[in-house]
Amino acid sequence: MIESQLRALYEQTASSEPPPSLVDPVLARQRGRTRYRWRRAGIASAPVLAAAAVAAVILATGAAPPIPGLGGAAPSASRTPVAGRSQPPGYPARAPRRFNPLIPYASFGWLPAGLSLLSGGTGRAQMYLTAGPEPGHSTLALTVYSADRCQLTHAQLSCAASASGGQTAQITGNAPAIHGHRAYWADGYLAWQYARHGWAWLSLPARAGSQQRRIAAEVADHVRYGLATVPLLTFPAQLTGVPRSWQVSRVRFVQHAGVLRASQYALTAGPAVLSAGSGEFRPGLPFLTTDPATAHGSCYFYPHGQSTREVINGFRVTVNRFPARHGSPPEQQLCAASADGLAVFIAEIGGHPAIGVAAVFEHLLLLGTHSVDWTRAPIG
Amino acid sequence: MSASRDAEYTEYVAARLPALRRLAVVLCQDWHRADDLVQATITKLYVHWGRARAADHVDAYARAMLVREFVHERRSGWAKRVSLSGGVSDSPAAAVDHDAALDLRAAVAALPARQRATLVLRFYCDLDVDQSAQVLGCSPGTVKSQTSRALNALRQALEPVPAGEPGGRPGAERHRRSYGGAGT
Repeated sequence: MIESQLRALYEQTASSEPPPSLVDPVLARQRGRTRYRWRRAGIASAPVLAAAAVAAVILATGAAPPIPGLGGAAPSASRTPVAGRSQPPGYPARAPRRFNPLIPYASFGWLPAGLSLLSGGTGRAQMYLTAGPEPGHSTLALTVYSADRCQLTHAQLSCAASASGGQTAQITGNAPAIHGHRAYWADGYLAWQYARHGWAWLSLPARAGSQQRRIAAEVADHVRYGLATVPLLTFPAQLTGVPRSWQVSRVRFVQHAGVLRASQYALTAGPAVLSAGSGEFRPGLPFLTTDPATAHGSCYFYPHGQSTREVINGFRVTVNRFPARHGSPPEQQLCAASADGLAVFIAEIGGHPAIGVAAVFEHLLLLGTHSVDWTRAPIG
Repeated sequence: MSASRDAEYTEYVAARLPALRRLAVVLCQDWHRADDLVQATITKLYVHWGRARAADHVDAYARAMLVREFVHERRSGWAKRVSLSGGVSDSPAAAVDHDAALDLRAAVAALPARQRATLVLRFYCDLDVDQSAQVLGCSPGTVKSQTSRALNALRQALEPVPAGEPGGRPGAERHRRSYGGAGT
């Protein structure tokens, strides 16, 4: 039945490992506000301007984020080594079978002037780093896969971060060797083999010229690998008294006052099973977000009975419970706009969570807003 | 512009962004295009936030907005004029995987945007005909005919190639090119 094949295809696509998001809610709000004002002012030309704004958004958030300032000096002239690391270590002989989600496996050894590390993500099969001129404006993305996640044919490179997701690109030409390893230009990327059985990708600007490609190759050539090359992640909260089998499986982190602060992380239970689909959420286990609270932070209160307000551990929280609907499984969410200076968001997907979101929050030890108080052990 | 409006909108987008991205990637079959679609959608959502927050179901409102944006964007030709993830590959069609799932993906990618959106609403979002019609802003009859045409096109595209027949099935090469060109 074609219908069931379609459902399977859609489910497979939806549960694939998402790459770093290029969606910029701040930009959307800014542009939306402008358009909202135009509309309210009743300007006759608003539709034309709106279309232009949409076009600008499409261009601004294209598949290959532009690297600003790359038309300027040559790489050697603008080279700015990342602090304290002037010599890249040797490449590993073989890619690790899996990454440790608590330790980023790769780091930038060099970035064009004006760019710095902004954020990143770690998982067992894949990790990524983004760089840009300022937070919220990443313009460069590096993705590294653990061993045996990628397949190269003569015309295509495919990498899978889970059984159902990853990225694929058509090879468009040979690139200069990166640190002596083979490399290729592929739709919007520079892809290279950083070690035996391991591949890395670097995003390119749309229609990258030769100068931009040279700089991309320079960035790729200076990427460092191995656990000793990067600092550990730090967590502003610690789960205590939870099942011993719980482990962190994926982390999204941000550069924060000199440390890599874990912003979002997902949990899994039991031994790692890489062949099983490891989407953003593991059914029945929590996905947590812990960021510094903001002055205007609030929790969305769904108006049709899905939300309740509670006080847990002395903090005011909003708990949302969504029943299964339109093919989506049931979901629980807990939101605390400000708890010990942190904005906390916990989500659990699936009908039978091991521990509900309210109980997870009860077991969450909040460590405040000072990085010296944070921990490298997210589960105590 | 009230601060509470901004705060509500921001909270909502932060909470629902993963779900919007998932729906978008099912429609686009490509994460980069999906992110572009979500970006355009949440920009519009801000403009219409007053109406959205007053709706019975904010998620349904946002979903409808995203699906319509997808259909509109494809129809307006931006998708054709602005290449966001590389151009058509120069590599030979022989490089394409002949796996059935990839064939289906390619066949879906070759459908017109409105038919793709209809299939996603029916078979991913599990909406019935009337609900799908509401989202697409058309009659239930149109949803039925679009669904039927789309499924027929997929069945034809996935028919097995008779052994030894020169040239194979007529639609196969078109779909393979579409797959390669789409970069999915």
